Amino acid sequence: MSTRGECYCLKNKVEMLRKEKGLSQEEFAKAIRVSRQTVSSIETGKYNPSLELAFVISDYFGKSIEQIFVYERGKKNEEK
Amino acid sequence: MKGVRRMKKNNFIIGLGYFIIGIACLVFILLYETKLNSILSGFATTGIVFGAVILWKYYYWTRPENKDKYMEKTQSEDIELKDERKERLRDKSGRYAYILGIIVLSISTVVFAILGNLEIIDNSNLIVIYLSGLTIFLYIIGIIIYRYLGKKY
Repeated sequence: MSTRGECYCLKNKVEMLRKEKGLSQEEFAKAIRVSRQTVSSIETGKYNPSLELAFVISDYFGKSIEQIFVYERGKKNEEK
Repeated sequence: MKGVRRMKKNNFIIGLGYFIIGIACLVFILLYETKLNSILSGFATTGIVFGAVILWKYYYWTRPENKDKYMEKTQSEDIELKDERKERLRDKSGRYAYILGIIVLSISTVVFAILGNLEIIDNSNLIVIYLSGLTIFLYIIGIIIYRYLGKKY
């Protein structure tokens, strides 16, 4: 359910965690076997990964899915 | 060596096959004069060019100095092909193309029917029947595939 301009959005900390590890998008994409554009889209919130890919990402960072992906109410296209 | 991928011999056989078919068509055109010569010249050009490209690629990528480069290339191709976002985009674009195709076919049917009735073009009936049949076929096959996939997943 969403009101005007607001929605329940899936947000993530992928960019932050990737940068903490000192990886480029290209390197991270190679490690989880997706394209660099997919990593970019996930980080900007344009694309929500499948459950399987979310597991792969969380496994890569050694965290649970809930620690990386957060389903919360927020504004659409909210600036990071 | 484990983990090292080499270009499959199949590529060489396919390339050679195309090349031989192309040459065969070319020889046929040069020896005989038939109504199919224009189509056969198309086959000859495609076969020779396509076959030569595949054979060149096989030669290039099987050279020892290109082994690592080939492995990297196939790995990135594999990732691009199985990338879930791209798969989803391909599915979506296919869906849009399907809908647009049906719309264009429907409009074309009406346009050809009108042109036929106004006697601007001859034999429009055949075109209208073919286009209508194709539209119905696409619509029905879309439903059949949807139901099949619904049972599968």
